[in-house]
Amino acid sequence: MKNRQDKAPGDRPGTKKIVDAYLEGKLPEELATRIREWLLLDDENRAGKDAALEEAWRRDVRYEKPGRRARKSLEETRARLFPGETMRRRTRGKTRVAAAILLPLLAIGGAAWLLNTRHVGTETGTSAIVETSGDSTRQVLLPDGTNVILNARCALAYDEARAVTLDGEALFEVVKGEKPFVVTAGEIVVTVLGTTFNVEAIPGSKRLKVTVYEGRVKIEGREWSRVTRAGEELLLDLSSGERRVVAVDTTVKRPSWCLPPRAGLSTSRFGEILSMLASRHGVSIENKRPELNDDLYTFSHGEGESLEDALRVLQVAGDNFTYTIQGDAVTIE
Amino acid sequence: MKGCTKTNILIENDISPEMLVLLRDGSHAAYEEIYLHYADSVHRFIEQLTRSGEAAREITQEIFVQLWERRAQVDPARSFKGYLFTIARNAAINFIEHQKVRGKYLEYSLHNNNESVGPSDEAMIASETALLVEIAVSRMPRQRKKIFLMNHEEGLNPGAIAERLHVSKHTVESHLATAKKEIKKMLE
Repeated sequence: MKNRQDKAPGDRPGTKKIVDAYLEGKLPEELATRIREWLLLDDENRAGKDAALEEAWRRDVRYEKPGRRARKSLEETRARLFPGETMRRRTRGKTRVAAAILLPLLAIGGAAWLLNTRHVGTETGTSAIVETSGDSTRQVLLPDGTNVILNARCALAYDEARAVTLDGEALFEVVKGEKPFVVTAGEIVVTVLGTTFNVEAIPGSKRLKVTVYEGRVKIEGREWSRVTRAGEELLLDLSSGERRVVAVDTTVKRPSWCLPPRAGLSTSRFGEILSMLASRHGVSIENKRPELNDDLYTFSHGEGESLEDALRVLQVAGDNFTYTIQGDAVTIE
Repeated sequence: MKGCTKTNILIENDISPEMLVLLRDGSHAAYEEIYLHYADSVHRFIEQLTRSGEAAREITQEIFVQLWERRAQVDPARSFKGYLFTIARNAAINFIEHQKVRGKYLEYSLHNNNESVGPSDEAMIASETALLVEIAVSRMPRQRKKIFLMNHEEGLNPGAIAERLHVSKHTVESHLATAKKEIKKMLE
């Protein structure tokens, strides 16, 4: 018993597994509650739990472009910590005399600005934030004519024409313009001249995805940049920094979530379904039949359904491949 | 990850030491800069941890209030994320403890306090194993979960389960074998 306690936290991979499964957020609430208390209130193996938690923290918490929520949170905290100082940043840089004269005006401006930021969902003027909730997607026509379809639970902020910030996933159908169209999503910046592309930057997710359906876009990350063309998809793994470019089908100019639903099921390409299954079940899927990637399937994969169930359904529907599962590796032949 | 070529791009998202020196010295501007750039991801993490948006909002603010109040302890030579983690961890623990006091977790706390001396290392490991098994079970498809629980909790044999569920004994056995494999993999 003594020996076991002397071991380093890393000697108990189970601790990390539980923490990761918990943070993934897919466990039933009752089990999640018990794990949360085991994790935070039960001091046994405190070091091991903290190490697993800190690893996830270092992976997920990062320096990023501030969103509306961060600004609101700062406003509230500033009122607590530095009462009476909320106008400080706005008056700085003016001369004292000018500041004295401008003060009433600025106060009005400040109030209008605060009101404006609270008006979530308005689309008038030069800046706005559009948010989606629940399961519904939403179409937004930007002032320059660019069409954006926002996936559920996403936020799109545009400060000026042709510069937007995205939290979540959206399809952009960009009209050509004099200025390049720029999307900031998490830690990447996507610059385009006129094209259709999909950006997936889901908060809390461990990856960023940019899929280009038409035209060309330039994607810039931290210390790297890449031009991605129609038919290419760039995947950035945020924890490892690993980048991959994969081919995608562009006959359908939209990702599956943008397509009209068919009898409650969504239509997806075989390749997309495989990557979804691989990430959902934490396995690697080797597809030795890449020519099948573009086949369209009407397919749904509910919570709790196993990988094997899904593959069996696909096999019956497609009737043109076989699969083998060996531990973490799946092969399609 | 198998079969992928690693590009080895290090994404280290910590703030510059200069900014941390300014924070330690009490610069409001540096504090606000750090606040704005970390608050969103801190909020997301805490929301994952507490499963509550409202808790995440409160705890995130508390973390940054603590950061300001303990700015003198910031060491610019060390990882800022690591320092912020220590604050966040304690803030999260405080919050969950408070929730418990408020009675939300009464049942569990009673159960926990029964053990006058803390659980032994042996018991700890057993409970960790139990959680891993529960996670594996929660991920099983409905039918397999049902069969596994009938076998393990009700002690029914495959024949009896097959009869009750109107499926073949072979189906039950195959589900049980897969269930065992899944659990074994979880415990590896």
